[in-house]
Amino acid sequence: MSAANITRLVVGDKYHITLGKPVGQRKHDPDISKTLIWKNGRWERSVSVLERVFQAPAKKSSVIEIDPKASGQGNAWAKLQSLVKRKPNVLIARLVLAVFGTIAIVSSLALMIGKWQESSSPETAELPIAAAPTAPQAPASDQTFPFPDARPAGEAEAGRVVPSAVQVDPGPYVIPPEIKAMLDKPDTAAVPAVAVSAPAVPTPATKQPVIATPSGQPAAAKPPANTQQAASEKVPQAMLFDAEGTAPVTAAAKVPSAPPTPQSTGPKVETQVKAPLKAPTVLVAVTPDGKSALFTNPATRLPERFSVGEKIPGGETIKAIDKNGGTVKTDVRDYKLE
Amino acid sequence: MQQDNHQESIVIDPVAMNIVNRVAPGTRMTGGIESDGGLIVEGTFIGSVKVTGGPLVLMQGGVIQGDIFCSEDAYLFGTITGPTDDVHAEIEVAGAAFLAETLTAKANLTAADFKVYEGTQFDGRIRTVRKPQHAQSKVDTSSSA
Repeated sequence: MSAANITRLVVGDKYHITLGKPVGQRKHDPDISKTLIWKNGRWERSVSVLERVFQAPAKKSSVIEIDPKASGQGNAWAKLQSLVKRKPNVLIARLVLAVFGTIAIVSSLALMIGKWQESSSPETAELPIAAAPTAPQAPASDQTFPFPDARPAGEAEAGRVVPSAVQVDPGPYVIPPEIKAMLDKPDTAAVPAVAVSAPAVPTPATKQPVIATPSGQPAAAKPPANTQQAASEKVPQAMLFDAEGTAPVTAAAKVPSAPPTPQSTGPKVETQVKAPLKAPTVLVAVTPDGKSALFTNPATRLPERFSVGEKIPGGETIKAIDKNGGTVKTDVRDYKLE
Repeated sequence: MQQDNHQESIVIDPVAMNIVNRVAPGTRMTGGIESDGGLIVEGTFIGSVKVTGGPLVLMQGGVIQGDIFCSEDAYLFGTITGPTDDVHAEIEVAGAAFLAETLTAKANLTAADFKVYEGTQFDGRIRTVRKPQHAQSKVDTSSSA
């Protein structure tokens, strides 16, 4: 008999004994998922981050799960509020920030461009105003009159009066350059030859309200003689008189009218000249010595020089000339420099 | 050692595990025993036990009242008490001590390794030391579902 047989005879045969449930980590334990077992270089029963990202479905937070047992809309409203209170969508927040940023940038650029345009062209706004006929002569805002004491506007001190054109002492009338040139010429050449025989323009006393019509216009525009007489009293100074209709009862008035001679150099008055429109006689200037005065010839519309005792184109005789006051007295009226 | 429903079991093969001595159930032995080979205790042994060259298997129902020394593994299923009621028994296991679910011990254990199973009642201190010489156990650790 072998030892084994003896052993089996003495001790007995092999038999299976249950030790029990071991304490600690157990294999194939459902609770073992809560624990980590390191095996083969990785944690068993562990899910990697990539697996979680690609396999795990994203829970849709936009779907509101309404409990069927809940009554009314209060539960749904509470869920909606809970959704609103959640963290805002990152994408929407980024879009909103981008929109606001773009608006801010565009507005700032627009303001900068507007300010640059205003600073680059400050006088452009004054062009419409300067388009007026007198605009070229009107000084700019930053221009100053060439007065001895004139100072730029920016340097004006408080309490210091800046001389302006209004404050200039009128004093003697300043003769315009073109008129002054005429005054410098010898009297013989500049003295107009006034037709003493008959005035070209009827006197105010014998004015007849005849409206001279230019050639070619229908005669209907010419009012009848009766109405002319009635309106004679109301004819203003600016009214031009027709030489034929308003000619006084003189032989000179009936002289056939000759075509007007446009003489720029010859201020000679042609009483026979028929002018469709005649300007009134206006005192233009007074010579510094006070011996002569310039009057506008209505026929030629050119200034003419007259001395004391001479007759102006209006038929009036100059009695006196006041150079200081700028007035000329005639036998009919007084003329004053404007 | 097999795992069934999260429970482990072991097959005791006396021939393979070199178990040469057996205290049969219903046997009451007093004294001391030194076994050069494994020992299976199914009865009551009062005294010191020294087992070398094999495991110590204290079967369920077996009682050892005294100190225990085992040079290899010890499979304890029974009852261990001290020489007296107020004294703990001293258990020294050079290998691994398996404290099964049916164990009731009032002792101080010193072993190289130990494994505790649910249900064991152990009253005492458990201490592990470097095993100077660990005998290869015949326990099958493969799990079976």
